[in-house]
Amino acid sequence: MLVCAAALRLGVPVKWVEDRKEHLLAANHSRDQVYRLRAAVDSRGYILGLDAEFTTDQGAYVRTHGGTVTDLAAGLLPGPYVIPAYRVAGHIRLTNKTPSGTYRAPGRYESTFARERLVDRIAAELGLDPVEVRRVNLVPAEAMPFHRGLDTLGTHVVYDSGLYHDLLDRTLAHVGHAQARIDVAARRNAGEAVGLGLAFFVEKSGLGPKDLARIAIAPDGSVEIVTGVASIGQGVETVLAQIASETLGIAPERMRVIHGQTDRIEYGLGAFASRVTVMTGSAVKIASEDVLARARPAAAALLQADPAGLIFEKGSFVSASGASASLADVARHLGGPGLTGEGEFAADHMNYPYGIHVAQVRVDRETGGVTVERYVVACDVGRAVNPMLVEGQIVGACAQGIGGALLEEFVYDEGGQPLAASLADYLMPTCHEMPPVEAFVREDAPSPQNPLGVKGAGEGGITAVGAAIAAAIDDALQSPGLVTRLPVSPSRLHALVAGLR
Amino acid sequence: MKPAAFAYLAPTTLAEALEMIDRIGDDGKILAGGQSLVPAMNFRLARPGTLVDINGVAGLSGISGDSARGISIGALTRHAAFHTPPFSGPLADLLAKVVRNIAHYPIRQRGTFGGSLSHADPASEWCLVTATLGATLHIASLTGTREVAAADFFRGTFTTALQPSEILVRIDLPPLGAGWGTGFYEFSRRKGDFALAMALTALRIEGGTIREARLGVGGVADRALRLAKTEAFLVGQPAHAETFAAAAAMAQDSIDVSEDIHAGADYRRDLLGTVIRRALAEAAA
Ligand SMILES: Cc1cc2nc3c(=O)[nH]c(=O)nc-3n(C[C@H](O)[C@H](O)[C@H](O)COP(=O)(O)OP(=O)(O)OC[C@H]3O[C@@H](n4cnc5c(N)ncnc54)[C@H](O)[C@@H]3O)c2cc1C
Repeated sequence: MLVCAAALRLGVPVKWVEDRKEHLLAANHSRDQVYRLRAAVDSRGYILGLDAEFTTDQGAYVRTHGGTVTDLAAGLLPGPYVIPAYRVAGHIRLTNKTPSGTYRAPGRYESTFARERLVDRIAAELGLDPVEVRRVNLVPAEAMPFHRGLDTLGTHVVYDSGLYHDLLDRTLAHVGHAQARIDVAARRNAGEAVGLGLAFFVEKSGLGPKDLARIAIAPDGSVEIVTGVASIGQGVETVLAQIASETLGIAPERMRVIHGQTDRIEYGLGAFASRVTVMTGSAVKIASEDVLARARPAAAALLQADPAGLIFEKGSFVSASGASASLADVARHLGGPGLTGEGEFAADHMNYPYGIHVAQVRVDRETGGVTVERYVVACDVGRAVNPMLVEGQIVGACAQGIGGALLEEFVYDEGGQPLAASLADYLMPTCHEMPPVEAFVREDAPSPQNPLGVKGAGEGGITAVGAAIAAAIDDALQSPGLVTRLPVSPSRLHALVAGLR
Repeated sequence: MKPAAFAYLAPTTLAEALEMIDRIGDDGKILAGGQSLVPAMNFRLARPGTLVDINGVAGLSGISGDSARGISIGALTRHAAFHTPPFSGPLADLLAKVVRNIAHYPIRQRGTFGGSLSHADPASEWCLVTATLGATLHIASLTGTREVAAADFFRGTFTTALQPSEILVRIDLPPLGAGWGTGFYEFSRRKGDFALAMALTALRIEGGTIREARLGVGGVADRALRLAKTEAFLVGQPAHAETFAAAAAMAQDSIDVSEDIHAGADYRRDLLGTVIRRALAEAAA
């Protein structure tokens, strides 16, 4: 905003230069929450009621995202479980720290950690298998769409679709969970501290209200897709071209996706909240259908055939006599701006991807070091337009999650001085800290809320990492409920281990 | 950030380089691998008026000697020169083991042995090697060359016996020949980060009894420390876990450990014991 305003006022290009230290000191921080949860459970571990109170340290000002993190945390804390009675109070506290805002899976990374820790505690106290306690509590498929009876971000929380029990079974089989448990137990008997942790999450994606896309087909058959979205390197161009290609029958290589150009389109909300493929993708799908609807009468005129009798296949309209006209032919025939289409997609509800994380870790009891040996993210995204991009999102998000679970922390001294203001002290994971991450992408529960059936895939890879790693560390040390705080730094874990002796 | 403006000189002989730094005095800095100096300049923690780049000075790099006679290392020798042992024997194996813990591959291609010693980070692996094994440092100035023992060279965090008019040119490491076993253990938050604690040791064991011992620790105080008293304790003891635990406890009692955001004193003191026990066990294995 400031850069744009300055450029307009001065009439010259203006560039914002911000170094790492300034960024780490002044840009939004996140994740600073404390939860206190109380559950009433029956003998199977079924949660009859959940009473939650939590506090968000918002830093010095309520800035760009207002109360979003707190709002989302309260709305999605119950996650995949039925929990018939739920009461929540989320407090926002202003302190003298750097202001905080949203950060990948805002309010869900934190609340998933708190909730899944609670479920592990319930299992431990009742002497039950934590996986079975989850199974007992999962929202059944028949209950979908599932009305939570509360709202977040101004929309009702209605889980649109989900086969939670089915995914649990598939994930356990995919991971070889029963055997993995036997293997880590054998290693523990031989003296190692290794463990498995599992955590379930429900994400939200496809935040409205609406997005717009316009498509123009030039006489040479090339396609321009104008969107109001932004590319943050997630493969927007590829996905949108693929979606248009599926309907138009024109190869993605012939398509040019325009984004981030506000003089080309009047609205569009941008890339955040796992919304692009859902919102802009759906708008592109609708715009593609619109192109075909407009092309049909023109093609009929060109082919001197009945519009209703034309069959559209592989990018061309074919008449009963076998004569055909491609979309490029139609564009040439139309002249002027050529063949165009427009699509708007509006959504007053979000949709809800979900999944399961499974972590296997090894703990060094003496140093407090944690090595993640294996990591599996199972995630149902409704429909994966481009599986490789979905996998990329999951693996990248998982790395970010491992950072949050084990390494990344904005440390302050008692006076509120930030002590981790460089990347030498704010530690992000590198390839050495990353295990091989297996993305188990499922398409079993398409979203009924958009023409593609898609759900967002940008955040599911991070949401349950803190929870799964904490559970795995507990298991490694055979101490349920041990980890209650992230990140699990070596010095913190060392103190926890010392406390066990 | 980017560095403040500076002048740049590139001598090609040692005499020329010495003349330059003598003339410039306090306002100058020698540029070796630049892997510590340049980040410090980017953060404006260092603002030298002139950089004297010694990378073009002939004869400052290279390794000669062997494990049995001891080795000489030119100050400009890159860390990466030790990625594979430069010759056979325990000393070379130890250096090859240690080097993998210094920063990351690209940094090891530029960073130099002499630069690490001159920079004197308390958690520098090469500082630990030279302090523990009792290296001799050769330091040149316009008035000639002097020899300084590693024990006298390191004065504290980023502080050494070097004067602004001096260049560290060569490091001699004493022999560690046949019969010596070596151990090194480091714990850091991530691979390549500076150690929260590390220990380096060499033991000569005969019939299960320790006959000679070298032991040093790094990352726990303002400089790498050779633990002479613990070395003396180890000599004559059986090379087994109990001895190593006793040695670790001795070291823990004698060092006032440093604290930072990654390790408070209690944790670092405990870690110190762990790295010592593990290094000793490796050397005895
Ligand atoms: C991300 C990162 C991680 C790192 N991790 C580690 C690590 O784990 N362990 C470790 O030991 N190091 C680490 N380093 C530092 C690295 O090893 C440096 O290469 C080393 O500390 C300095 O060597 P240099 O040749 O780059 O010296 P320079 O940066 O060029 O110089 C450092 C200082 O020494 C002086 N100097 C250099 N050579 C001489 C000389 N011959 N005579 C007199 N003065 C001289 C310079 O004037 C300057 O003051 C890390 C660096 C980075 C950027």
